[in-house]
Amino acid sequence: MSKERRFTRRDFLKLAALAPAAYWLGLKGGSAQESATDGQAVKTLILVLDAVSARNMSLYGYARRTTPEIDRYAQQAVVYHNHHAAGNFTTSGAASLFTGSYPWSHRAFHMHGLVIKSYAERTFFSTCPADCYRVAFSHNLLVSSLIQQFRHRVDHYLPARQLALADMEYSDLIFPQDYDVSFWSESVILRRGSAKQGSLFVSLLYSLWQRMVKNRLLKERPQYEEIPNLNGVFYDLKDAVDWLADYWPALPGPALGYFHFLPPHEPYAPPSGFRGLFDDRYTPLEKPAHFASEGHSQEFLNQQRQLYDEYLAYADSELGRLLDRLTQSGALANTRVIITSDHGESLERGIRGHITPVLYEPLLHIPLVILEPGRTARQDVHSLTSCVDILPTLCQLDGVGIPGWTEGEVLPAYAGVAQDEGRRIYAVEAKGNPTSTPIKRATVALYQGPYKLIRYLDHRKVAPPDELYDLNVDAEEMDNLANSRRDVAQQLGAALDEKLRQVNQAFL
Amino acid sequence: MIQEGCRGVYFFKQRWLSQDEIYLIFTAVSLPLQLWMWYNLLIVYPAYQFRLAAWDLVGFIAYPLAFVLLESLLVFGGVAMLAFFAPLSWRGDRRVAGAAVLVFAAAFWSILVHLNYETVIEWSGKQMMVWLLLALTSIALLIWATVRSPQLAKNLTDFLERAEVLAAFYLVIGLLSALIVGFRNLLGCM
Repeated sequence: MSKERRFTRRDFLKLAALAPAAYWLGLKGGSAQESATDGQAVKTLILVLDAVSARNMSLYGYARRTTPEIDRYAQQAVVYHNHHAAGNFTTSGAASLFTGSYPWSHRAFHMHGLVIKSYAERTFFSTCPADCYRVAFSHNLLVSSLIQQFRHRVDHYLPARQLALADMEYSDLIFPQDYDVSFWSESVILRRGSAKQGSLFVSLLYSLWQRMVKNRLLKERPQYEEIPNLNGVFYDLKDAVDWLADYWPALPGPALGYFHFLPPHEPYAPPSGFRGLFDDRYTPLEKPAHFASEGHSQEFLNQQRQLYDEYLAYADSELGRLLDRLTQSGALANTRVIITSDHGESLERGIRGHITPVLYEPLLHIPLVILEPGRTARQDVHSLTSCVDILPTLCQLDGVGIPGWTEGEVLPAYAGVAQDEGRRIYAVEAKGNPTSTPIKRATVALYQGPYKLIRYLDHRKVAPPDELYDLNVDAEEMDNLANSRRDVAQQLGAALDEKLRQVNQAFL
Repeated sequence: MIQEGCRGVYFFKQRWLSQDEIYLIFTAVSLPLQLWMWYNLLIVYPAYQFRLAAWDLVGFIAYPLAFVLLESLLVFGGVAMLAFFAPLSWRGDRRVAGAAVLVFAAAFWSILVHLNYETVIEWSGKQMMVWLLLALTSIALLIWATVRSPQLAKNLTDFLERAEVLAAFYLVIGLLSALIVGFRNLLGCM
C-alpha cells in the first residue's frame, strides 16, 4: 500500500469481509481455488430491489423512463416479461423466492413471519453445491429474519447494520439467541405499527433520538430530503453498491450471493438529481376504488407515483453503476446476475403500498432479468413464470438435482423444453390466516395462459366472489369477466378449489 | 467533621421514603405505564396470535411486559429521587400525592403526544420546547394544588392504597416475564 494512500475504514471492512471466505476456502480445500484458476467457476449474484413493480419500469413499456440502466444491460440479457411474485409483500414474496415454494407451503405469510421448520432446509442456500460459498445481505429486516432462519446454510451473513448509516435496532444485539421474537416485541415497544408504541415514556425518548439521528444524517447527506429508513435502519443505497462492487470481484467462485436492497420501498426518498425528474403531465389510468381501498385520492396517488418513479429511477441508476463497476473489474465475465424483486407496489384503486389484501398486477408483476457470462444478445421470454422458478433454475444451472418439494419449474431459456402452455402459477395473501391451519382467510390469484382469477376467501368486507381478467387484452384489470366468461371462471375456479384442497391437506 | 457527617445522615434519614410511601409511589408509577402497554399489546395480539406457536406467543408478550417493568422501575427511581428532595413538610400523604400527580400528569401529556405523534414529531425544536414548558408548568401547578389540599392528597393516597394489589400483580407478571425472556435466550444458546 503506497504511503500516499491511507488505510481507510473502508479498506479494513473489505479485508474483514473477505476473511470468512479465505478461512472457508482453507477448510474446503483446493477445489474452489482450482475452479477459479481455470476460470470456469461461475458465481451467481441475486440482486433484489424491494417493491419494484414491473408496471412502473420503462423496460416493460412504462411511459416514464424509470429504468434506463436496466434497459441498457437488458440488451444482453434474458428478459422475462410475464414474471410474478408469489406474495404481495416482503415476507411472503421473499420466502417464496428463497424456497421455490408458494406461501401455502412455507407458511411465511404474516408480517415478520418465518417459514415453518421443514422449510428452513429448503432454500437455494441448501441446494447450492457443496463447494459454493454463500453470502447474504438485506437492508430489509423482514428478510434478515428469514436469512437468520437459514443462517446455518449461509457462509457469510452480513447484518443490515454493516451497510447502514445508522442502526436503531437492538434486539439482535441484546437477544441474539431469540432474535425473531425479540425483534417483533421491540417493534411493539418502540415503533408504531398497527398500534402506538407500547412504551409510554421511553419510546418518546427513542423517537426524539431517532429524529436527532435523522437530522445529523441529513446534514451529512444534503442530497436527501428524507434519509431512507425502515424499522430503525437508515441506509444509502450508494454505500451498499460501493461495498458490493469492491467485495464481489474479490470473491472467488463458485459463489452464491443474495443482496436485498430497500429502494424503491417506501419511504420514497429520491435524492437531488432525481427529485422532480418526472414532473411531467403523465397521468395513469384512473381505476375504481377497491373494497380494500385506503381512501387515497387519485391526486394523492399520482403524487406518490411520481415520487416512487423517481426513487425507482435512482435505484436503477445505482444498479447500473454497480453493473458498470463489475464489468470494469471483469467480475461480470464469470458472474450470472439475476435482477428481480420480492413484490410490486400499488398506486391505484385508493391503495398505496403493498400491505393490502389485493393481488392486482402492480403488486404481483415483477421484473426478472438474467445476465449471463458470454451472452451478447437479448432474449425476451413472454411465458408465464413465477419467483418460485428461480430455485429449480439455479439447481439446473449448478448441475444439482431439482428437489421434489419445489413448486417451481426451470425457467424458459434454461429448461431445454418448451413450457407447458397450460401451466398455472399462483399468488397468496393470507395475513389473517393462522399459520398451522388450512388456508381459509386469504386472497388467492391463479394464472393460466392469458387468464387471471382472483378469489377472496372469507373477507369481512363485501367483495365479489371471484374476479377474472384476460391480461392479454385487459392488462389494467378493468373488465371483470367472471360473469361474461363463466366457462373460464368455473374452470379456473374448480382448478383453484382442487389446488387449495391439496395444499390444505397437510393442515387439516 | 463528625458533626457534619451526623447532619448529613440526619438529612437522609429525615427524607428517606417509608415503606408505605415506596409501595404507593411505585403503584402510581406502574399504573399508567402498565395500562398503556397492555392496551397496545391487546391491539396487536390478534395479528400475532395467528402466526406464532404458543411458546413464541408467550415470548412475544413477555418481552414488552418485562420491558414495562424495567421502565416502571426507572421512572420510579426518578420520581422517588424527586420525592426525596421534596420539602419535609410534605412527608406522608402529600409527598405520595405529589409524586402520583407528577406521574399521572406526565402520563397524560405523553399519551397526548402518542395520539398526535405524526404531527408532534414534525415540530421544530422551538415548538417542542413550548410544549414542554406548557407541560412542566401544568404539572407543577397540579402538584402545588394537590399538596395544598390535604383532603385531595388523602383521597389520592386512598385510591393508590386500593390499587396496590394491581401493582403487585403487575410486579409479579413483570418478574415472570423477565424469567421467560431469560429462559428463552438461554434455551437459544443450547
